[in-house]
Amino acid sequence: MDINPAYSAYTNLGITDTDMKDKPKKGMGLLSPMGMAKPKEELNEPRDRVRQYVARIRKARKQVTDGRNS
Amino acid sequence: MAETPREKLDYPIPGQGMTAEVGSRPWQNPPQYTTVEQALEFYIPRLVSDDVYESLLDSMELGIPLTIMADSMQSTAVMQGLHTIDVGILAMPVIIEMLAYIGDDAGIEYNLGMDKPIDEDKISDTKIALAMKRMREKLPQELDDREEMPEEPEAMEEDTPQPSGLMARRV
Repeated sequence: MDINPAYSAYTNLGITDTDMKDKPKKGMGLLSPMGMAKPKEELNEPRDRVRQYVARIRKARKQVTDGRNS
Repeated sequence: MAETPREKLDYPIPGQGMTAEVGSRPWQNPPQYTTVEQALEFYIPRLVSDDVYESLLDSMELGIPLTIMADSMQSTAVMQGLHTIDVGILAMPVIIEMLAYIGDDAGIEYNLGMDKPIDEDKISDTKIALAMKRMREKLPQELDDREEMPEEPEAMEEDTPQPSGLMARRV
């Protein structure tokens, strides 16, 4: 079956809405519940980085289109 | 069209493509950009540069899918030895998204190329229309042929499957 590799590469990234949301800022104080928690190791594979880049651009794209629609 | 012997001699010799010295082609050399980030640093400034930007928008308006545009961009870069196919495949989603951003920013309706893949079992309307056209072209000719042909005796009765049940009536 003739499928464009770009189509497969784009759809197989599997970007979810959580990828596009900003992560809540964690408190750094001693009493903060997150203060002592070890930071999660972020995936640093090329595919994960690409997913992050795409999510960021998509978010910016959404802001552009939302601004136009409203 | 008749072929002249001269034209036949102009064809490449089988295996000619493999006669080039190893390393003489750009893609046989180490790539210029080895990581996705390096490749994107090459692509993104070019996408928004003045000379490319306008032609990109024109292509989008023409309805060329962004996936096709991204694929051809990275294939060309691979052929130029800028990066490997692997890096190109990884960079493609970012290029597509960037192209979509450019299209959105310019307020152009573009085709992302993410339509449902063609269902092989379903015959497209264009194929049906093409078949109808061919049939229409062929039909008058077939009718003429039929008029010329002598009448054939009626075909023998086709064997109809006999009912096999116990209570079935035999014909």
